[in-house]
Amino acid sequence: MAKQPVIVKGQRNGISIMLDETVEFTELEEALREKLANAKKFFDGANSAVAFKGRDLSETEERHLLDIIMAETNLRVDFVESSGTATKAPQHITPAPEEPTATKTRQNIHETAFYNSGLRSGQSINFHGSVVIRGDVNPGSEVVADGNVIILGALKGMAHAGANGDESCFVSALTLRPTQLRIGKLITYVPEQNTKNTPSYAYVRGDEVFIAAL
Amino acid sequence: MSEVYVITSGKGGVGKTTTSANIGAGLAIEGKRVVLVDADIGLRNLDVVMGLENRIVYDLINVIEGSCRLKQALIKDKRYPTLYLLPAAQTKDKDAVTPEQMKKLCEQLREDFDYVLLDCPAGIEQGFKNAIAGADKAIVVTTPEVSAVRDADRIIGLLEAAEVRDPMLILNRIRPDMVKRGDMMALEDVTEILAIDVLGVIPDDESIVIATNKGEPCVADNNSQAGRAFRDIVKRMMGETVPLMDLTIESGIFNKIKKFFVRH
Repeated sequence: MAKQPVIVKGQRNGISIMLDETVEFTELEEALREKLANAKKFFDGANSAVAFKGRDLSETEERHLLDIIMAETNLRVDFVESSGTATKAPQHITPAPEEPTATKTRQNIHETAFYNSGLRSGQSINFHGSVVIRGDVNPGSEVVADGNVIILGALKGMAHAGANGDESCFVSALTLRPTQLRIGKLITYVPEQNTKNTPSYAYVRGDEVFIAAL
Repeated sequence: MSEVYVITSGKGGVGKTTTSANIGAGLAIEGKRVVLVDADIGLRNLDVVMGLENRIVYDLINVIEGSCRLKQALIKDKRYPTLYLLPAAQTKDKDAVTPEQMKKLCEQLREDFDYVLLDCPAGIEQGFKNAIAGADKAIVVTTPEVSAVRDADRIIGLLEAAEVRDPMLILNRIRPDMVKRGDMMALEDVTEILAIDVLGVIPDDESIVIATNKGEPCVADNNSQAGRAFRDIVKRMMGETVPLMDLTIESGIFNKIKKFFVRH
């Protein structure tokens, strides 16, 4: 019997999928689809990390494979690891129950704007994707992004992530002391005693905004 | 090479005019040819602070409209032979001038003077736009209050947008005793937010109020701590490296008594 192009293994920290390096990618897709269809019940409703092994995948290829997993099973993919190289976390920390797929969120936020200087009072950034700012966001300034807000500096002004209502977005900064913080439709402020001088991020879980160290 | 400075703050009442007067007089004492331009049209003050109010015949608007020559409107300060004042008009408002006209005026003044100092009005509207139009450099004055620092931050942003490069900061009216107690923002707190170079720190000093009311810049007063701070600022503007003065020495009763005896 010929070597199977796709081998799915359950491991302690998730599912690892061994991919044959030698076969065509389309063949690989087909084999994976078949494999998963047979084991549909096994994966039903579980949350798991997925690791692709044995083959270097481009981002599109990886997305294709993930799409197959989404289509064939009810598996919720929290975390994707590719071919033993860099670990890529998906766009959100925990998938919201209504929208379980990591890839879906990833496709929504496809553009990121980089700003090479901070914001002073009265200045604002408004962008339809994610925003990365190198510098401080001073009091009296605003960052409004449909995606995530990442500040390589201190956040002391107002930041709004997921401005079109996406609560899976986050705000992160090296110093998180915003005058006001908005994620999705939630508006909040960070009490003085909760502000951190260490790199932190704010995210939504349920109907509340949480802050955690990065 | 002549330099055109705008002295600005955003917030009113932080000491732009006093700073302008003292830096102007200080540079003149050092032998530089200086012209102070009051860009606060409709609310002129610089002439009063300089004690030159009663000598105004023509003003900035007259020059711009061409109803007098530039030389006719310049008031020579008799105490400092190289210091001149171009007063603002009191009966007009900010819209009487355009940024282009101010630019042209600054170019004209630049030919005859080493330093052109523009005293900017408070606010970020037309008057501010006029004042910064002809400037190469900016001095931002603020006091250690959150509102003044916030406005200074806004102003720095606008200066950057207008390509007035590398604004420098003067922190005015600081009280070392209050800073020590933690009741007032320290220089470090202010620079952490504003992130610009510091040109000088001026202590809160009675002598400023007295000098201003008399129409005599305190920069010439050797006994005034604020005067000394302004002299240091002038030296830094001329390219000398002068360390920021240690304000903490002057606080405390013992030092006050000591100072009293040293002075008399």
